[in-house]
Amino acid sequence: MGNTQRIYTGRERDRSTAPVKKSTTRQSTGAKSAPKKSAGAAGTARRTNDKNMRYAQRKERRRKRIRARMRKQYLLSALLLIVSLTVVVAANGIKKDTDFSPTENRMLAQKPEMSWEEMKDGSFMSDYESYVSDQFIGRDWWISLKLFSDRLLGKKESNGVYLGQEQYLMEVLSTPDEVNVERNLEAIRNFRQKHSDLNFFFAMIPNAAYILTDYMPKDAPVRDQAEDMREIKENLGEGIVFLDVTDTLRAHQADGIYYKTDHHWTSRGAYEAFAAMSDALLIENPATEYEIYPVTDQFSGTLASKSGYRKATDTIEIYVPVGVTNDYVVYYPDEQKKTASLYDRASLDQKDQYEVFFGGNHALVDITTTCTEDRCLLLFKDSYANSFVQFLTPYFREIVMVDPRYYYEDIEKIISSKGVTDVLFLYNANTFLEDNSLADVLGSES
Amino acid sequence: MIFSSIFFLYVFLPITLLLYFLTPRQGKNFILLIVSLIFYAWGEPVYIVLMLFSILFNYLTGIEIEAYHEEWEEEKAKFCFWFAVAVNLGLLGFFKYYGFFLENLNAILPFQIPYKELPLPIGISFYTFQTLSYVIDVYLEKVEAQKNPISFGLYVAMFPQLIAGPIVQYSDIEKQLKKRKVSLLKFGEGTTWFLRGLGKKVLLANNIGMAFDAIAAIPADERSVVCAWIGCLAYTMQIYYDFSGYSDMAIGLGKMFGFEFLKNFDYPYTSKSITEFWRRWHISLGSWFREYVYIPLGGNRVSTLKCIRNIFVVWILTGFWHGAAWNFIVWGLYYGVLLLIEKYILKNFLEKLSGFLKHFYTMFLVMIGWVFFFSGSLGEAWSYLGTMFGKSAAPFFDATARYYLKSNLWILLAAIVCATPVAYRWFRSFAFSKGKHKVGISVLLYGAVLLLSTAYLVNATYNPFLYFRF
Repeated sequence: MGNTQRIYTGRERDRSTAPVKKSTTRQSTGAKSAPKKSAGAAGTARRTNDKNMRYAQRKERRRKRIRARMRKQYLLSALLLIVSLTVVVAANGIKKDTDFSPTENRMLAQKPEMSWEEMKDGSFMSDYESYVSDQFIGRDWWISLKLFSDRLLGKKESNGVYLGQEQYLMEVLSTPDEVNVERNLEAIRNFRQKHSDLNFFFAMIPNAAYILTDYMPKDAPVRDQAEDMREIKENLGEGIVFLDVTDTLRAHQADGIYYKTDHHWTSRGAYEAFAAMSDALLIENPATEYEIYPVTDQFSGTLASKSGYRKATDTIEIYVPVGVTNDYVVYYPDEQKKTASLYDRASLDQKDQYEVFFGGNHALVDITTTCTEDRCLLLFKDSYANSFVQFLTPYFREIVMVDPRYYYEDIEKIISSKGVTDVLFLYNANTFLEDNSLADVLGSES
Repeated sequence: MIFSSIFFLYVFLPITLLLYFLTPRQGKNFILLIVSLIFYAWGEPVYIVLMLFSILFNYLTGIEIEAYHEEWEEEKAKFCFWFAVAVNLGLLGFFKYYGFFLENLNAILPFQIPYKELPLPIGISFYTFQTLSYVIDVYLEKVEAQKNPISFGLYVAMFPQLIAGPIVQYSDIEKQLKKRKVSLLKFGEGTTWFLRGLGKKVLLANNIGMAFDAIAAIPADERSVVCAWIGCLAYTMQIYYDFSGYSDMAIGLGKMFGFEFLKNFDYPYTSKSITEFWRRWHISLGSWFREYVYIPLGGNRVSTLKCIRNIFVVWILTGFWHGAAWNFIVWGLYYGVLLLIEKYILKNFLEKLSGFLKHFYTMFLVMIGWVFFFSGSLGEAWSYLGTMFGKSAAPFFDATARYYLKSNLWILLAAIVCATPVAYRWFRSFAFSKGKHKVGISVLLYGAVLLLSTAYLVNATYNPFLYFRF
């Protein structure tokens, strides 16, 4: 490859698109008085010759300029890369590894140990790559740069989270895991038949992206959870009261029924749902007045971590009914711990402040109350129920919360020993539609 | 390991560059071979054995064939040559097509042969074609056998082009293995290539790819016509930027180490015919098939009927090379048929069309081709095409289509503009025209590409590489 050609590498593209013809016309437009007509009198021929000369000189100068600038560009680019790599490598070398990222709310990957086995199956390599990426210098800054550029591009989603209006973050709705949903429903039907003397209730709480239509990004495709709910209702079988709070929640869209930064509903959301379903739950004279205590206004939840958008913060409130006796003892069998509160103050000092309700999910929580009503509730639940139980305590003498994702014991023992009278399934739709643990706890074989 | 990763950029590359430039010239090939093998083993710790075998086997075969030639033992040379071809293709066939072959065999046979699909060794399709080109050229005495095992190993395993091409033919690189110019200027030129490629891959391909994935995940009966077209356009852009970005990075890295690879893409989406498209798309693969399949079969210097046969052979193989599934074969056949039609029927007609219509015609057919390419199976491809042409019950336009169009508008526009020479030509004429600081600004733009790409990679939850599976 000769020098002249190398100078024009960029142009080569044009040339190969359309053969030589085009590039000559291009160049002649560069020099406006390009000589074309060579035929004519001798004088004009000479003038043309002069022009040709000047044209050639100009071309030569231009070529030289381009060549010089190209050299400069290459040298500066080389410098750019060398300096950038050196700076980043040095900074990474100096920086100390950290265990936890508060902004992302997760443990960061640590330097993996080298071993023959892990080298052979490649896990050492992939662990090491995660380690480098997780401990990268200024990680939070890079993440916000990316989000800024996403925003500029007009993106409405980030990592499975919709970026809604008024800083609402909403999780993209999950597609049902058909096989497991069918299996869970069958287990529920069988379980109900086995215990036909108990009251059965089933509530699947729709998620923010489905309810908060006013705050969703315009035209964003949303799974129709009402359809999912209809299907589940049809397949639940006889004798189970299906509690549908979709319309209630929709009517309260503007009241902050979901956290802006978290995938849970707020206590307000749970309250609206409770008010709507208390009749169906056979609760007589439910409390109508509550004292509302905000326990934090600095809550930044899972969706903020997942999407990286951390502008908004939420307030977590707890609701305490007024005018009813509401004393209880909460027992955590796994931790062998007893307290007189549903709330875990210590959780407010950590990142996931939603854990203020019961300190998070437990396989089993047993709440005994001073309620005189002879009702004992067995609650199969996910984390949505954690903020819902505060509304139930005045009306049951005992509430047994079972989280099938962590529970492996025999459920029948609880039913007989506690004298369970009522069974409630309370899930949010995203979790229930993907759950693969409920059937095992209910004993799908029977 | 892929180039578009934090680990490569900020760990592997700096170490490699440091080692390479600190090593005196005689040792550079050796160092590059060692890091290349580590590069490969990093992603394929077990299959590195296969690669080493391939290097050793073809190295010895080359020397042996040459020795037979010198002793006028043509029969033995021939046997040796065919044996090598069989071993190379056998390995490729076994690791890439074994599962496909048995699956189809089981469909015909009354009984089932149990099999376990093997994970595909990364880059096997690429390096097998390189070793084949070497063995063939040595046999045809176009090149001398490489006596230096380090140089030969480097030809096969050199990491810039190891896992996704360009497919380098031995004759193109023979001299460079012995002697090449390594300079800061060339390093800088390589840097610009590399950064352009990085931007194409990380900023364009990955971002558009997300739109395609979202649309592809919509159940087929709910996808509107416009939505299907947006999805198809998104994929069209994704695969181009993915692959050409990767090729540009490879070329750039090559230049940093002093190598010159031929370019692999030349604005394919500006083509005015399918024939032209394939002169501009994955050029190194096209030349390989032309050189080692089409021309040996007689090319077009045979009867029309034979020429048609040759074209079909080449295109079925091209399709099959891309993946062991029927939809890839159909995709190859599709292009075979289109090229034949252009060659024998449409030739004169096409020339009369206006430029715009020619572009339209080409892009339309190319996009339809990609549907076969991205679909998981032939059935899915037909159903997707059905939606695109209004054969399904889904509406023409819906809110979902508007959503994806709106939230990807800028990135799609950027992708379309950058697929033509306009953007880069403008950039160059800006950087090299008169006026102060313009070169500096152009370099700052390259810096911005590096900066943004790093931001996206640090945050990468989505960084597929489409040509990885070939």
